[in-house]
Amino acid sequence: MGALKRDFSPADLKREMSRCGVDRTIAVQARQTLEETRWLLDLASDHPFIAGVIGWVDLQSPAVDAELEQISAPPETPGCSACSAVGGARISVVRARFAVGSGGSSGTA
Amino acid sequence: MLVYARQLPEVVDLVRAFPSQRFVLDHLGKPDVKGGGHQAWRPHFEELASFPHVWCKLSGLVTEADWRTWTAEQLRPYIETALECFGPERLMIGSDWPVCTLASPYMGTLAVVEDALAGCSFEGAGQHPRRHSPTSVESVGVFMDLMPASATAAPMSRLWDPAERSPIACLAQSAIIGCRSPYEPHADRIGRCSPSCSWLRPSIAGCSKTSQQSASTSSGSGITIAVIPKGTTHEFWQSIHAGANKAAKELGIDVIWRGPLREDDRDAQVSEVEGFISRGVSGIALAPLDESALVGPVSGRHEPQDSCRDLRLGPEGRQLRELRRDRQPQGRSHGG
Repeated sequence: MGALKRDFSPADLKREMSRCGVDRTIAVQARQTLEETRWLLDLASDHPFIAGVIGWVDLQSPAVDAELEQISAPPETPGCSACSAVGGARISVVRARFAVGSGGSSGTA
Repeated sequence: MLVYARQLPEVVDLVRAFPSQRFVLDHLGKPDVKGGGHQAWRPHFEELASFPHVWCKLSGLVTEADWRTWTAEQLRPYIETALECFGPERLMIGSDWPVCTLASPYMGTLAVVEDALAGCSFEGAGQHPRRHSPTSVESVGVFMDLMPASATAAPMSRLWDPAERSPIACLAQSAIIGCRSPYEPHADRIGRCSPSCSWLRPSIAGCSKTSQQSASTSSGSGITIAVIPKGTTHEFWQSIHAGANKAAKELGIDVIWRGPLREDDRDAQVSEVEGFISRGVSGIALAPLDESALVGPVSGRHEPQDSCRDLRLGPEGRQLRELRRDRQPQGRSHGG
């Protein structure tokens, strides 16, 4: 796991993608925090090759409506609006905190 | 949904409980590749794939194998099973980068999936992929099928170029948003999905009071339920149709199935709802295309005084949450 203990930037990913002829990517959350979802959305705003974000919200939170609305708001930036155009629907997809309560660890994303 | 293979039975329960919610299984449900867990994983994976509202991400395999000694041959059976069970329309390739770098760099991770898929052809749901010789170059059809239908409308350049054997980007969009054209209807598949109409039952119970007023039914029960989907052509709604018919048979009632052809035809759906209300059916199960346009007909302006209404309607998100609250007291640890 030590190999993962460094920052992996969009530039790192872009390099790998270019070598394989991959043009765009979907970023998937790894941590179950709203902060990371917002961070990925920000990255998508700054880097058009990030075509979309699979985010996370806590479905059991009392604030889930407001949080969903906040991260689903139509972004002004070209990168995210492109993504929105692809889907024609909200850009964030929720991944439930499935491991909680069933005794498993979260594993890798 | 990110789970281990041992948790797949619970995932099956979850997707069965929420037939209108689309799901994506991450990393094929994390089979134990290292421990040779194909046999233990396959039955539950296959059952999950029988639900048409579930998609699967073809990713994360190299890190489920031994990070240092894995081979493409070890991964191939899992990839082929995924293709066989979900078909290319409901599969999307993911790199799992940077986690994949524990076992393989980005390029190698995509190449192992690409090679496995390019080495076989796909003939239809439930058919085992036919394997070509490793040098065959005529089997790129699999990749073409994986292209999102939105590719022409979206600024995504070169998703797949057979000449260069380049991997694919952005498959996730088509699968998650569901803009791919669906499978051809497949009788066996639809039959197995009939639990997806279990949501009819509580509505029927709630509507039986007014059913006495409705006449001309063929089942003899006097109960007629109108089921109005968002559209009638997509496989998802066809599975709901099959489920409705099955439920009608089991309960001895009549079900009328009518909906708009296109899933954006709000006027047609409004007119269906109003038609059934004036006709006086016992109950209406409706998947509303639009919250505001359907409020009028559904809110009960023309409601007779003695009718009772069991509303289980709403946009998908709201329905999900309402159902979730219903289920929570049962104490099952679905976790979200």
